Amino acid sequence: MEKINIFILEDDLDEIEILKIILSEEYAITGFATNYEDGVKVFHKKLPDIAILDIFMNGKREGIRFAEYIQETYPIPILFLTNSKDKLSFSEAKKQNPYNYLLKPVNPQSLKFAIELAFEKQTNQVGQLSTREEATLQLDNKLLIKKGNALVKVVINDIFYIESEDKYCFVHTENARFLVQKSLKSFAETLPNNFVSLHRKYVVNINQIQSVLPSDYTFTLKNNVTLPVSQRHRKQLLEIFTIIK
Amino acid sequence: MKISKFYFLSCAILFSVSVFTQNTYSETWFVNCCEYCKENPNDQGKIQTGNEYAWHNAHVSLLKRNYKRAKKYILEDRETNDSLKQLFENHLLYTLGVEEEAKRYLLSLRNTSNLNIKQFVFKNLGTCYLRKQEYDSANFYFEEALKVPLQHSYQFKTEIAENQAYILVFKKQYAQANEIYQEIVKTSKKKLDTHQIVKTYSNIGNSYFEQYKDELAKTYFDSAYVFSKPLKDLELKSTIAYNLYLLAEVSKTHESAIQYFKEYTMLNDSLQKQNMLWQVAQEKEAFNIAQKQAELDLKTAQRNLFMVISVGILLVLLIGFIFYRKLIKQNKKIKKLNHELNETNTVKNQLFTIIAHDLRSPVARLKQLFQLRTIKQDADGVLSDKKVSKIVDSLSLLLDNLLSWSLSQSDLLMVQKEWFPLWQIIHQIELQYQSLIDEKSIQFSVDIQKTILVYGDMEIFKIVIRNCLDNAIKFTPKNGKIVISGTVNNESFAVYITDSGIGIPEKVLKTIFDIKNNKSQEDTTGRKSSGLGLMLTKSMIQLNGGSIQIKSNPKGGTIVNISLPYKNVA
Repeated sequence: MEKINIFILEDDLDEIEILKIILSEEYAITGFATNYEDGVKVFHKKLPDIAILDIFMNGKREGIRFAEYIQETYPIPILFLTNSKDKLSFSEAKKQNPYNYLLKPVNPQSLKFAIELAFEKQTNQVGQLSTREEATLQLDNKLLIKKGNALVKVVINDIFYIESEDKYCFVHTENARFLVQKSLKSFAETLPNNFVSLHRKYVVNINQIQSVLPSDYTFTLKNNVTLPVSQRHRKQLLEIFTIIK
Repeated sequence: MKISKFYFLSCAILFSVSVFTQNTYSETWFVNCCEYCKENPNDQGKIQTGNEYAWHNAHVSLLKRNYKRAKKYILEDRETNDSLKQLFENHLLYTLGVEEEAKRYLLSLRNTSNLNIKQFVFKNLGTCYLRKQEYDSANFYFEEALKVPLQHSYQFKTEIAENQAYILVFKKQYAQANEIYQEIVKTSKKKLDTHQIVKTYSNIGNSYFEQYKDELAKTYFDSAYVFSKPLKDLELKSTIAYNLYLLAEVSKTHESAIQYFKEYTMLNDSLQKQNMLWQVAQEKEAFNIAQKQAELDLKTAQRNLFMVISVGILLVLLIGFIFYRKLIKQNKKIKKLNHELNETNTVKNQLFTIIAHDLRSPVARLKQLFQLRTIKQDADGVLSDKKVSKIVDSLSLLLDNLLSWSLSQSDLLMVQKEWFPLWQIIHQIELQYQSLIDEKSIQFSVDIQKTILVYGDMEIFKIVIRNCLDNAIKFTPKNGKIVISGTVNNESFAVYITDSGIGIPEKVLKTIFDIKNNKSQEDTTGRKSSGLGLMLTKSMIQLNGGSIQIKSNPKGGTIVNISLPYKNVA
C-alpha cells in the first residue's frame, strides 16, 4: 500500500505551499515546478499518478501546453487549477476534454474530491469512489482504495490475498489490510489469473505462496500467514503446488 | 400622210399616259393595298400624320403626282411588306421615265406566286414595252396579264383593250381596232364613264383619220368634242380641239380651223395655268406638311420629354420608397436595440449599485476591522478573525456571482456538462457554510441518497447551491431549520431547499428572477440583499439544462426546487 503520487505545476509558491499542506499527509508529492521547462525535467524523475496544473503561468497558458506534453509522453489524469471558468482560459485545451478543473482558491474537501473524480473519469466510472465510503477503483495494474478522506494505491500483484467478510472484502497486503465495499466474487472477476479461489472465504495471489502443507490442507504465504484450503479446491492446490515446485 | 402620222402620235400619247384626273389601274392597285383606305373609304384622298400612315400617304401623293413626297413616305414606311414597297418605288421610277430600270425589276418578278402581283407585273410590262414601241412584246404581256386567273376590273380591261387597239391601229389592222374601240364605248357607256367615252371617240376618230376617212373621223371627233364639254380635263379637251383643227385644215374649212385652233390655244393656256396653280398648290401643301411634321416633331419631342420626366419621377419615387422601407427597418432595429440597451443599462445600473453597496461596504468593514486590530493590539484576535473570514466568504461569493454573470452575459462562460455526485457537492458547500450555520444555531440536514449522480456543469451547479443556501441562511432566524432533500420526479431529480425563514411576499415571488424590479429584502440581521444571486441562479440553472422554482412554504419560509437529469449508481 502506497500513497498516491502527485506532480504539481504552479508558478505561485504560496499556492504550492497551500497544496502541500492540504495534500502532504495523505498523498505523496513527487515533485513540483514553476514553469514548463523545469516541469518537464521534474516530471520524469519520479513518475506521478496524477498531475495538478495551473492553467495560467507567467501570463501564458503553460498549463495547457504541459497537459498536452503529459498526454503525449505518459498519459495520467490531469487536474487543472484556474481562477475563472471562462472559455478563453480553456480555448487551447483540446485533448483534455472533458477537463478536470478546480476553481481557486482551493479548499481541502473540494481538492480531494476533484482528485477522486479525475481518477473516476479516467476509468469512465464516475461515482465509483466518491459515492461510497469503502471503495476501490482499478486503474491499470493498480488498485485505488479509498481510505477515509484519502486515496491509497496497491499494486495488484502486491496483494497477498483477499478475504470475504459478508458484503465486504478485506484486502491483505504484506503487513496491512483494508476494507473494500465489494463482494469477493465480483472483486475476483476483475483480478488477473494469478488470483485463485482456494477457499469460499479467500482469493489468493499464488505468487505470494511460500509453502504448501498437503497433509493439513493448508498453505503459508510469504508473510507467514497460513490459510486453509477447502475440500473441493484441494486438487487445484496440488496442481498449483507442483507448478510452483 | 406624214402630217397625219404626227397628229396621230399626239393622240396616242394622250391615251396611254395622260390620264391625270382619273386613277389608272396601277394607282388603284396601290390604293387597294392600303388597309387605312379599306377602313376609312371617306378619307381616301387625305394625307394623314404619323408613320403608321406612310403607305397611305405615299399612294395619295402618287395620285397627286407629287413623286418626291411619295418617295419620302415610302422610305418612312416601316409597316408595309418589302415587296409592295419595292413595287411602289419601281412604279415611281417608271412614272419618272426611268423605264429600263423599272422593266428590269418587273421582269425579275415574272415568276412570282402572288397572283395579284403577277397581274400587276404583266400589265405594267406590257405598258413598258408599248412605250418603247415594242408592240409584239407589249401584246404578249397584255395577253399574259389577261391569262392570270383573277377577276378583271373594268379599269384593267379597258386599259388593256385600249392599248391593244392602239397596237392594232399602228399595225393598220383598223377593222379589229375599231371592233375593240366599239366594245370599249359600249362598256364605258354602261359605266357612264364620259371620260373614257371621249377618249375612245377621239381614238376612233384618229383611226378613221389614219384611213383617210375624214368624214367619219370628223363625226367621231365632233362627238368627242360634244361629250368633252362638261369634262374638266383640259388636256383631253385641248387634244380634241387640236385634232379638230387639223381635220379642218385638211378639209380646208379654214374658218372652223381657226376657231378650233383658238380654242386649242386657249385650252393650252388654261392647262399651263392650271399646271402652275397645281404647282403652287403643291408647294403650299408641301409647306403645310412640313409645318405639320414640325408640329408632330414638337409633339413627339414633348411626349418624349413627358415620358422621360414620368419615368424619372417614378424612379425617384421608387428609390424613395426603397429608402423609406430601409429607414423603417432601421428604425425598428434601432428601437429593438434601444430596448435591449435599456435593459442592459438597467442591469448595469443594478450592478453598479451592487458594487457600491454589496462590494464596497464589506471591504470598508474589513479595513475597519484591521484598523481596530492594530489599535487593540490583537486583544480580540479570534473574534475579529471570525468576522474577517465571514466578510471574505460573502465577498468571495459576490465576486464569483459577478464574474459568472458577466461571463454568461458575454457568452464566455465555459459550460461543460458531465455526470457528478450530487450529495458530495452539496456536502462541500455545507462545509463552507458550517460556521455561519453554527453561528445561527440552525438545524441543518441533507437528506439525499449518496449514490445519485446528476447531469450538468458541476461548477455552475455549485454557484446555484451556494446562492440558494446563502439566501436560506440569511433569511432564517436563529434556531431555525434548513433541509436540503431530494426526490426522483419523473425523468429528473428534484432538489428541495426548505427553510423556516421569514419567507418571500407573494408580490415579490412573481418577479423574483427579474433584476429590474427593485425587490431588496432585509435579512434577519437587517441588511439588504441585492437579488443578484437569485437572478443569476435562474440563468445558471437554465444554462445547466435544469429548472428552478421558488414557492412559499405553507409551514412558513421558502422552498426552492431545482430539477436536473439524474441517474443512480447504487
